[in-house]
Amino acid sequence: MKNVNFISTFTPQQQYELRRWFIFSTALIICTLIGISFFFLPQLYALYSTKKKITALQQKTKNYNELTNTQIHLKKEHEALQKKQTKINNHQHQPNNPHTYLTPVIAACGTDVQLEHVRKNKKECEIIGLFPTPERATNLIKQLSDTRQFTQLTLTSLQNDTQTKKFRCTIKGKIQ
Amino acid sequence: MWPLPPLENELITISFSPNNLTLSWIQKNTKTKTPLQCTAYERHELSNLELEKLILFNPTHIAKLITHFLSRHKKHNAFIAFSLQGASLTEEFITLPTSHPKATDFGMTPSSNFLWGYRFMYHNHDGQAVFYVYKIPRSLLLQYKLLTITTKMNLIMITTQTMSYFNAYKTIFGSSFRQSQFGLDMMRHNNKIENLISTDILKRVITPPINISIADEHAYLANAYGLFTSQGLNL
Repeated sequence: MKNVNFISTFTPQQQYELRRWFIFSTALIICTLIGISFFFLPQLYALYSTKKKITALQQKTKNYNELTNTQIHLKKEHEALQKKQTKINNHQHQPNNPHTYLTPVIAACGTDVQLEHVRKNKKECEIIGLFPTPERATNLIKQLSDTRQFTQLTLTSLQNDTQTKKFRCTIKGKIQ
Repeated sequence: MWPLPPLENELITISFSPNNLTLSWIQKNTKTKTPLQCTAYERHELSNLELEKLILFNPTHIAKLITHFLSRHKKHNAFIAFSLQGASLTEEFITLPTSHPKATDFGMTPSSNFLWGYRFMYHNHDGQAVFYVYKIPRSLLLQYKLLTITTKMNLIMITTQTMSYFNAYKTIFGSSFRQSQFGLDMMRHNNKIENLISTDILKRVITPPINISIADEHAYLANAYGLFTSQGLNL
């Protein structure tokens, strides 16, 4: 005969069954999660440590862009200067570069001689300047001749300049 | 485990009868010859209208009695079974000519306010079938459900005292239970099922607590025994 029960509830057996299933399901989920984590945890750890390194490196290279821009700018300047230097060197080593014979003239003049004109026409040159004494002009001639860039240098004109109280000398010669 | 209420493999029987609230904790007996022993037993007389016609007029007091009993014996998570007997619960034995009656044969007007049912008891001398019919207002059931919710009990059954006695009788006879013999006993005792279980029979099946006399608490112990055995718990 069926028992009289005014309420419908879970029987003790059903309650125990529910409990067993709940514990089993929970244990299964936990074991599954642990199993999955064995596969993913090392990768996650690698990701974490890589991100940490990236952050540290980003801190170190904070000014990188600025430095790079500076480097590019300086590089461009350097290239420009290199070009200038090359141009200057090429010009300097040109056979018809007046610098080659102007330099010894200026060096020979020193501080006491005031150069007024330096003319060059093919192989002939003319130097006009204010010398303190005529001997200074001959001294200049000797110095320039010693450089072997000039030949047949002669003092062609000697004038007294009353204003500066110096001698305007004209030296003509040939350039080697 | 935190989301599951803990379960305890024990049964506490609570009987609500006119002016009495009986609580008992029955276990399997390992010490004496009886199969069961009543480890704890309390009967409270409710003479201040706390429980009148099965209506819980003072549910606070009743809840307090129950929770004190459960706390004292640390049985908060045990299974609980109620048995009811009172004026609000209509119980009768109806004789019908057929063993397979329809609901209308009992003369019950269908109503959503009541919960009713019937159980076949026995065939009488005239060959007619005797049925046990019960009827309880749903509002009364709700009161007991609310009481359960308040006290956070793991209630698994609310039944009638008559059915408890029937279960007790059936369990005592065990495999030699016969519906016909039951019918004879019932007719001899004028359908007073509580008289079917004598004190001597009860002494053979349950050992009461030391301070309790079976003779004095015979009806209540039989009821508790019947409630316990109706569950068939593997305790």
